[in-house]
Amino acid sequence: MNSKQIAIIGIVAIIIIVAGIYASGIFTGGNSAKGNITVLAGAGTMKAMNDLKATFEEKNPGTTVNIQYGNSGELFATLDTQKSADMVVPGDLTFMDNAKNKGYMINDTIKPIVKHIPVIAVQKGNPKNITNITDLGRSGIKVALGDTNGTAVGKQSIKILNKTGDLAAVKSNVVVYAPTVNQLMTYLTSGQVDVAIVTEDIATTGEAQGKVDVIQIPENQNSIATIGAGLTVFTQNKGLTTKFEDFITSSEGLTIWQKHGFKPVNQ
Amino acid sequence: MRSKLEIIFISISFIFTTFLFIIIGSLFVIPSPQGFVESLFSNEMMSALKITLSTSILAAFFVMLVAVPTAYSLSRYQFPLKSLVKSILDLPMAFPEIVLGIALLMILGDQFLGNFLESIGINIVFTTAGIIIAQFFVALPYAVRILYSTFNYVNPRFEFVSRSLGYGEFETFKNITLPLAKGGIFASSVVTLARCIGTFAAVLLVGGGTYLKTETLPIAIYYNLSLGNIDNAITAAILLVLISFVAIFVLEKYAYQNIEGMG
Repeated sequence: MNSKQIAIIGIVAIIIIVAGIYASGIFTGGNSAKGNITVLAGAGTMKAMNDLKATFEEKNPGTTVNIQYGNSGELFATLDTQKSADMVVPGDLTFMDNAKNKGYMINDTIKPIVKHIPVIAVQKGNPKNITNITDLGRSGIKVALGDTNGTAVGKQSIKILNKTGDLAAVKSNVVVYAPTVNQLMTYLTSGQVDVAIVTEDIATTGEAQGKVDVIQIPENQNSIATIGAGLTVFTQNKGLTTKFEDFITSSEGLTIWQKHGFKPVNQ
Repeated sequence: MRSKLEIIFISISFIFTTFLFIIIGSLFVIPSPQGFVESLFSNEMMSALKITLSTSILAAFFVMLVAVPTAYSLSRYQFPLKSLVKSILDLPMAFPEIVLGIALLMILGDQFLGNFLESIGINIVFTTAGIIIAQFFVALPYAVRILYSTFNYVNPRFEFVSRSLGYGEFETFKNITLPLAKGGIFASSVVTLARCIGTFAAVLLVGGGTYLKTETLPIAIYYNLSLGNIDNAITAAILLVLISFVAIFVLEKYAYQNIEGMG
């Protein structure tokens, strides 16, 4: 190989690296570009938030909403360590109390939006004839719950079981505490478990729609979380962020939330 | 005087090795020493370490039991559909392991094998047996790959000589082929073990990833990140780096010497 060929290889390599860096968006994603905001959102809101983002960007050309998903712990860790992000949309409003205590939120921007309602999901046709929470404790029923620390719905499940007094019986039937909520639907539709406690939006929309049956939990037994939004004190673009928050809480925004299985708080 | 090519190539290896080293090394400076020790000896970490090592060692053992004969037949014998068998064995290396995880889950689900296994009292999904099976299928292709090239390097002439001296097929395989392939077998065991330890998505899906029950080290990282428990997550990551380091160190020290000495 002569030096000319080496030079050619070198140039090609540099071009590829530069192209790669550009493609990865390092140079375009900076804060200086106007019309860019970053939102930290609960993993459970992903489908609705992606839809809201797309609609908002379409209506406001030149704006970009970057959304980072995670569950409460991840979101809080991100806020805590990065000290950036313009807005948070956690899956449970109790998140806001912790964030407020740390002085991370602009308090008067916090708004409740929709409800995160746990339901009982069973296999299509309900072969095990499960009608209420107490049935989860019947012998021979295989139950899947979200991890009781790591997932919001896992925590809610424990609260529900405590209210109905079925915790001990159901616990002995639990075959898996899944660290991610998506696993729960997979186990249910693949027949590994008979029943899971999930949130309504997951069980009634998207891929799961029509593949599982849903049994509502009476309100006095249920533990319902509220999804809300709020601006952080770190925001660099308060105008656009407020506009986005107004949009996702507007009636048009609420229609999009409802499309994805969420019920507005004032309903 | 080194040639230009030599200088360029050596610089490339140095620059990117340095990057990699800095990236891995940064893990070690994040947690406080106290936090590290505390999370290391926590119930969760000890349980995850125990589950990870016991399942991986068993899985790696089964992989080797299957991979040695498979690789040997691919290397030595002609049989129908050989190239198809080879491609199928290589397939899992190319797709993400979560694909394998979902496929295993489906086949072990009610409709197929699962009903039968359950009727004879074997539970795979959500148990450590499930973890081992997931690790087995993730790691098998790597073991077969390495052993295949190992056996290709073992000169068949030695086997012919042994046979012509009156030794049987099995004696020849045991006394000639296996000792000559020792280095490769060792290397593939180490790589297999490392692959089993590092399996994440397939193990999460099939094993369920239940806290203290089927939670392996890679799952512990994910789980603790989702709780915002950075100390625990990094500790699990450091443990994995240390285990890999020992594995690779042993590999470099022993296996390659043997491969070189094989002739």
